[in-house]
Amino acid sequence: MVNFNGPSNTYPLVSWVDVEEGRVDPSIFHDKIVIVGPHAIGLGDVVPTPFDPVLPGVELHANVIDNIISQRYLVRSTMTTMVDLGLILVFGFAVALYMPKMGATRSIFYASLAFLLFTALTSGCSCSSDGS
Amino acid sequence: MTRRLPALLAITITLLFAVLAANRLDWTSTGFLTSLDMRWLDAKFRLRGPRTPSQDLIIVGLDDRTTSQLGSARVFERHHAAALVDAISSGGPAVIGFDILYSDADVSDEANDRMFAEAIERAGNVVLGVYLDLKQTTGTSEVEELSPELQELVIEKQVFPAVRRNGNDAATTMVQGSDLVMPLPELGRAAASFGFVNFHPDAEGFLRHQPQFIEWGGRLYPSLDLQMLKRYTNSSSVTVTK
Repeated sequence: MVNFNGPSNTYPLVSWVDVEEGRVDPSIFHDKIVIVGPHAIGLGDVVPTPFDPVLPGVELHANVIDNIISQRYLVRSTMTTMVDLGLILVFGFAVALYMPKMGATRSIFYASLAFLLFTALTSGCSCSSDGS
Repeated sequence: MTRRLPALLAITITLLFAVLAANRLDWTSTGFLTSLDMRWLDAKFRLRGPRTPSQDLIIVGLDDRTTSQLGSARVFERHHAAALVDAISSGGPAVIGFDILYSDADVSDEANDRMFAEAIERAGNVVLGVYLDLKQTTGTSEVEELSPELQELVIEKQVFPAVRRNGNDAATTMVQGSDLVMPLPELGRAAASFGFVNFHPDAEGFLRHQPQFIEWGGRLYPSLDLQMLKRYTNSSSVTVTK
């Protein structure tokens, strides 16, 4: 799963023509990973992604390479499934046991709370802090 | 009994969802729940917001300004690409990757291709894009013999398409390619390596997963991204563990 870092223009971008005609100082490329590719919606090389419905293909490659360098790729593992399963059972049975004893207002309150808690716990894989 | 009914109902629904979660949602299906799960994933991305990207990457965009000043994509002459490679190379980059398929000859002048090939050779760290036509299915395929030219190229460019070990591991079905589109031989020989630039959108047409290997003729071919990283980790002090 691609762990997208943001919409278009998240990565430093220079224009081909500026580089070719010397308007960009070449030293910015020093020891960098340089990706050359179409960066115009008219050229058609775009992909729809969660952050950007028209992300240029080069930026997808940048995101993938970045994920691998920083090791922040998302994985749906057996572990994730087990956690999902466990939480569903816990929350489900909690609801089954306590909900019938409450009034409607309190039920809604606790249900929302449970939903938020479940989301917070299961989205740990994509929302975990990583010092950035 | 009527007092117990809501509890029984809740337990039934809980078990239902548990079964659903246990049968991992299949990302290739177009089912309602899969779709919902994908949307939910997108929402979580937006909730989290953009993050600081790695400082190791820089994009050179073939943008509207470039095409309006140097010629539209169709008639874009390759001597521009040669000049670009020379300009980038003078700054000492770790690796230059082209997310562009140069499989046909320059339409205006074949000398342009020669210039481009020479620039690629001079730079010594250019990775070119190749394209794999994809089959609609994932799975496994029989190992086929490589043509002598391709055999030579994959060894020289250190692509090493791996053969899958025979086993009954069902989790390792791969995206299947049906045809490999290589760069112009002249350019391909000059390049340091090559990798595929395909996209692999899911059933909804969104791109959320991107395979890093595609199987073609029983061998696994790496992506442009992996081939670039390979050059990068060899030539810089940054190390990637694992």
